[in-house]
Amino acid sequence: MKYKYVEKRIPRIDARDKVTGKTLYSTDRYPEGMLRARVLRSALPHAKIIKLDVSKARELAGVEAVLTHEDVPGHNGFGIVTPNWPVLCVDRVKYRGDAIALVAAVDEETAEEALSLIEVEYEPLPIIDSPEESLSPDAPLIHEDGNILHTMDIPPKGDVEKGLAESEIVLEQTYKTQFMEHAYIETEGGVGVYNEDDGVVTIWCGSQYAFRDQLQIARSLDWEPEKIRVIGSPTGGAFGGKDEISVQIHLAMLAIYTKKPVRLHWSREESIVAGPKRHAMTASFRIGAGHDGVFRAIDVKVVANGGAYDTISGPVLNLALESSPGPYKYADSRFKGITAYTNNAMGGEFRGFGAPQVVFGVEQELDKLARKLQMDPIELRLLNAVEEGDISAIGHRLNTSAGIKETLVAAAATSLWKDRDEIKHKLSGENRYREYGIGVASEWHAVGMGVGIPDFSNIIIEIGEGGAITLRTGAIEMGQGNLTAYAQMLAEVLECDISAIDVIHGDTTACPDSGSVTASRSILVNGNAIIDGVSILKPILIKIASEKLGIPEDELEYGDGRVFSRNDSGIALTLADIADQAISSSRSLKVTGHAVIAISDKDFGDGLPHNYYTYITQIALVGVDTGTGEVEVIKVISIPEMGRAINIDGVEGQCEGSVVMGQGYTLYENIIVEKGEFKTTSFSTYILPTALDVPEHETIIVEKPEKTGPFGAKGVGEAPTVPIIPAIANAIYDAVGIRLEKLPITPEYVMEKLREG
Amino acid sequence: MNEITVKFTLNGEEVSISAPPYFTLLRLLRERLGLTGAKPGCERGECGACTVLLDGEPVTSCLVLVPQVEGRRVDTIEGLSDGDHLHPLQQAFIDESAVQCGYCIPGMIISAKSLLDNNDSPTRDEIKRAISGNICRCTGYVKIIRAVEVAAERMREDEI
Amino acid sequence: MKFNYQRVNTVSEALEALSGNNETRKILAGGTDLLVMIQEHLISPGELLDISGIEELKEIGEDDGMIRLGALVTHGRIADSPLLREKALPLVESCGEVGSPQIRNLGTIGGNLVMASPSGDSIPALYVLGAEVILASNEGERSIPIEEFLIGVKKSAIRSDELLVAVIFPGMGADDRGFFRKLGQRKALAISKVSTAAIVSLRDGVIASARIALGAVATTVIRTPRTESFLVGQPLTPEVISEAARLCSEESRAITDIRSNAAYRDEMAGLLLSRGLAEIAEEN
Repeated sequence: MKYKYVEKRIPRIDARDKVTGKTLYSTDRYPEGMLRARVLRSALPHAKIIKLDVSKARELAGVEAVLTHEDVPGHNGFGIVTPNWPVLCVDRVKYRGDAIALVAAVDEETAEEALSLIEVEYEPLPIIDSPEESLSPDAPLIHEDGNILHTMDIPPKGDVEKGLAESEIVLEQTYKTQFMEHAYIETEGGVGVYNEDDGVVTIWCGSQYAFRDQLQIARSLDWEPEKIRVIGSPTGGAFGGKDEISVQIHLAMLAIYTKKPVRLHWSREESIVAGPKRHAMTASFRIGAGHDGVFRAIDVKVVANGGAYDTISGPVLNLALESSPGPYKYADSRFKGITAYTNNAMGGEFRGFGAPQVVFGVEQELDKLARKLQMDPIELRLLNAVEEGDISAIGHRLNTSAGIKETLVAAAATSLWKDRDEIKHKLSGENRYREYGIGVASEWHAVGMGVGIPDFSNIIIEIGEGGAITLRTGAIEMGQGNLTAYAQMLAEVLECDISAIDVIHGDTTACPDSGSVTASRSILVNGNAIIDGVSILKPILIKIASEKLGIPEDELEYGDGRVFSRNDSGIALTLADIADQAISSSRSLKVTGHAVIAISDKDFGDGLPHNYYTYITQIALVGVDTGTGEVEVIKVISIPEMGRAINIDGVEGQCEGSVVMGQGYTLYENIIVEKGEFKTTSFSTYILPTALDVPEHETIIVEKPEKTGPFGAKGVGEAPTVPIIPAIANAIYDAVGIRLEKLPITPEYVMEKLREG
Repeated sequence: MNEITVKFTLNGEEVSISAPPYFTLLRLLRERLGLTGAKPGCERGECGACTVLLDGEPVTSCLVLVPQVEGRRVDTIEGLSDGDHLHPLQQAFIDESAVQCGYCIPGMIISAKSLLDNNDSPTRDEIKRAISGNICRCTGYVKIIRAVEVAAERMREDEI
Repeated sequence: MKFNYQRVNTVSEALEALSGNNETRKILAGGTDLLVMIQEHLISPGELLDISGIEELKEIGEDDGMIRLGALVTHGRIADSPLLREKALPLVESCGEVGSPQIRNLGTIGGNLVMASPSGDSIPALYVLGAEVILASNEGERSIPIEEFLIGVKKSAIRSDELLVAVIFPGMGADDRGFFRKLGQRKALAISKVSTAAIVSLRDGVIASARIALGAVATTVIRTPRTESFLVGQPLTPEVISEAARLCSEESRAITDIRSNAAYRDEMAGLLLSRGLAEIAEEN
């Protein structure tokens, strides 16, 4: 089918304001008379609070509020799944990011001085630095009900021990991954304003789900949600890290207390120490296969470092397990995971959601297997790849489009893959210090929240005076291009000009609840809601046109942005005409579209399993300096199958950004926490890729439209972050013959491995 | 704390403004002059989101103190377009979809402008080097680099 | 971040200000280290003496073969200077790898010296160039060899009444070949894990003199005297280069920290030397 807006390269509708500096992010607001807030964080990773005295801070001139746990009116905790993360600690701190007190003052300097005047006496407690320590029988308890944050055993499929015993080849390996920082360039922050007239507190903040923020604030304030307005969009990057509460409750408390606008913007150090991270995990695999390359059995065990509180650690572990077998068939499987509380960094939601930690390992195991069998690694994956209708390795039926084979076939056809020996040979001639390698890896990545978790969207479409079209969605624009994609889909189904559409977003008062912008779900669910909305709107347009034209509804048709007579297409009303007619008769052309993401036929609990997947294969070309151990990623090809590309630039942009994020995780990025103390608290020690470090990148889009997706689309926001990790590792093996079992792959680690031989 | 008054040229206009001497140029722009295009990302000179031109050269405005701009020329993203007419870099960033969350983009464009002011035909490596002090977490830099190339091409064509 | 602020526009004004005793005063030049240290609460000066507007400290000059860099010359100007590319290649290469364009436009050579970080990238180059530091006070000027100026981690021989006004060194001669190489955690905005600067004089294919300095492998930048003496009188053969690398690694005294480990740094110090020397050998 030919589309006008969908499947095109459409410039971002919000780009003009962003390139001129006009876009106001939450942290760009400076209302008159605004106070500056700061948070007192724990000085120790694990301790009892013996004394907390804020009297001196309160006496300091210019200080307008010093609040403690005593000032939390409602539930003193937040958390997407289990709200056990304190708003302000009472008598115990459990990690270095714990908040103890809030200060609001006339300026930054006074607020900072006030923090130094707060007296806290601690009684140190033993520091639990790893899940292994946490789970040992004599470990001190971090939470009263034990140190286990979450466990998950997916019901076994077949008999994994028998399967492994009967396998001609069995591979076994354990992989370790580190904490990773989101490092959005806009740190957590915002402004709170309390309006005494209507009693509403408004919070502007970087968010991924303003409506959940609203509820979490309400729970802690013990307020009606209606009295809390959250405006969470646009945000300067989120990547999963802004789905949870950061500044929201603190801002609300301070704004209500002081009755003045309050600004709280975390420093980079605060963002690193206090905010959530990608969980550090240990993943162990046993994989059995035949000499013919057919996979037989997979046994996976994952141990995750959850940090001090819950937030959303359970679902992350679950998705790690669901992701771990990849898009391949196994007769026998077993997946077991456990997440433990520690006094380290907070494990939380992060693009990829548990998948990077396991795919890093499992796709290296497949590379090993291919080499053992002397098979092309793409052939091996193709041999075992799933198709729509198959039973997956975790035992559910794949009821939606599954294009992993197509991505593998496309990968095999690239010059980078076909001519890889020649390419490596040519490069070797140009640099005597380097060896070159090319690696491949694949992944399936769940789209949507999974079984049992609400997974809906509501959007509002309104046609106003002059035919101006307004789309309202609670969804957040955090850089992924949501707003543009929604406008494209709306323009496509409403057959109107995209420039006539204004998208209002991320505001609990101005927009309906569209669910969280997470889980690669936004295109799928909001696209379907838009289509639903237009399907409701069109008959209304025809009805009003019928009144105006005096032609029966069944003789009218909607098309090309107007309602026209079937008998004489010259007789037509534009959207502007119809809107004027509606307005003149005191009616509004306003509809709500609704959609729910379909679920799997199985239910393993806690969101498992999923019903939609993005499939992706990535190829990486690397150069390894055998003297220094430095790895340069030279070229990457991403081949995603996301159903349908709504915006080609958008799909490419997700791939390009994801690859560099994956590259950073693979080679550089590491939040180092030792005995609960953060060693990497700035961008001089937490190493992000710069423009000089990144590969050339090509995206090859594979479309396999999904019948239940909008225009066949699923989602693509996370998947390209994942297989790039083992693709780089496999390329390093191809170059210099070393296997990497932990991240990041630093030059020091490469040299250590090269020396081992 | 006593405030001091500084006079300097901001986006082509003379300004005179007071602030505490310990304010950075970044804070002056954002909190006293209402220009929020330059962003705080780290306030340590490590991310480049606050990049502005100081006497035509890109600097991280988080590492410049207010009194240091006395008598100097400061150019920010807000001064780049001429009314509705965008700078070719701005237009190219839109056209090439080089903008995602957009938070790094003002600083990125300022760094790129400094490059193109001095070099109308930069190589890809020169572009990467020129923006190597501007961290972008969204785009992987691919479309940003392309946008700078496109802007340079268009600016060369306009010269002819 | 809160402090008193004083701005001076000439060296004599600066010296006048410095003559008054003020324990909590810090001198602000480029600010790329100082303001970061203040922000991170590593120091909290009561007063900043801003010298960044002193024009007379911004000159790059050459007089009778001696190069003089005013203390406020930025890394960016050094990296772009054709004169220095010819006469002080290791310095040009090192300054071109400092931080980022923005940092290079702010950070100054004098600031890099006074901060005295063992990983300050300009310092190994200045060691091998045989630089001297000119310090001025109301009592007059004195000049100190750079190796005596830098005495420890973030410690230099400057007195509280002194201002570092310039660094001077003889320009490289026709027989001199030099380089600076560093390993960072990435290609820009990188603090050196290890860096190596060297200048060797080649006459008739034989090394007449050699100066080598290593950054980030000890409490200060260090020279490698054993490696240097080994090289003198030798041709640049692969065998000589590899022995020099081995000796250089032995002389490196690195520690393990957040960026790297001691063994790696020591090994790389020699490797960077060998690669630089190999390139020189090939060019000749």
